[in-house]
Amino acid sequence: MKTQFSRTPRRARNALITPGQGMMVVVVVFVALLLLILRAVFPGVTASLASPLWSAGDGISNGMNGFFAQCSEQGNAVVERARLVRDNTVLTERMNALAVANADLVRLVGTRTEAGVGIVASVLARPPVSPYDTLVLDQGEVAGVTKNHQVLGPGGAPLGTIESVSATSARVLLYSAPGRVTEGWVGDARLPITLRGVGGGAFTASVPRDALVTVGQSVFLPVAGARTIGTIIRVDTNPSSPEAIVHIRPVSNPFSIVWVEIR
Amino acid sequence: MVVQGVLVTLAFLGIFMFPWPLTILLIAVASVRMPFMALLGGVLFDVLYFVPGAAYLPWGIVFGIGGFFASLIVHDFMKTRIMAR
Repeated sequence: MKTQFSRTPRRARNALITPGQGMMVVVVVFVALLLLILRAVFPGVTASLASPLWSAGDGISNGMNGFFAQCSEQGNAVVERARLVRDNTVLTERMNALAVANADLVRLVGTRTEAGVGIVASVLARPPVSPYDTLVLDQGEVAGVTKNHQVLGPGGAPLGTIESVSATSARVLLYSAPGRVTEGWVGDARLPITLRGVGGGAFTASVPRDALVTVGQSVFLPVAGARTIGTIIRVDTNPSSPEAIVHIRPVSNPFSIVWVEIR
Repeated sequence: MVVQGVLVTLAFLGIFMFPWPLTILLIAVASVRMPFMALLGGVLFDVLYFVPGAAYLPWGIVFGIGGFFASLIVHDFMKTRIMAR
């Protein structure tokens, strides 16, 4: 009986990458480099190409939410409740912002500043689709957006700053991006606090243990006066540490933001 | 082949539509058969969503390169196992 031997050299058979795969690697690396160069030279092109897919994703997501909500017996009640909760959040935030602005104006009798006109932008991509706590907006330089502009959510809650802008799109780095540090205040006494983003809209901060920081107090950022960014939901203390760790829940949930205002 | 096509399509669409942990899972599964998916997925994530200050490193590219070589090894191992049968 004849034994058949493979003609493929052993080195080729045992190689981690075959010539075909090697070619594919070259092509893939080329495409990857092309994408990176495209992003660096024409930052708006990638967002323009991707925006139909982002919109389709939003549409599918909303359609599925609506479908599943209607399928359940209490679908309408659930939808109505969600709307009321959203409205309540917006109104609460607006009321807080007005109360703070009023307090400021009372302190500064005779002086006042007019709020500038903002640019309304639609959110194309948001967490959890975006892995970096960034938003992609559909307005860019053409509409007057520039780097470091402030981005406000529903009710004027501060969300982040514009970090990258092209002609027709912009990317926002949220204040809650992991590791991002922002200065703010807590409570009516305006105790200075350094907020550290932990992702998903949430923050932590360290305060002296004997500082009068309690659950339920509002946390403000010095954006357009003072705007509420979140509420303290937990204060962790340790008898062996002089500091307490404060956990802050955001006013605006970045996972469900549809429209923002840029200033 | 059809399953591969579906996986690649889902992983690609996931970058624009699905939560990123699910997309990474899809990319990981797809890259077992097609190692380039890890690299392309990682680069695409960073091209679309990364901005300076968002992280110390563009993790999509870093993990994409790592995933690419890891899946090459897994792919080679699977091929060897199939040939040995």
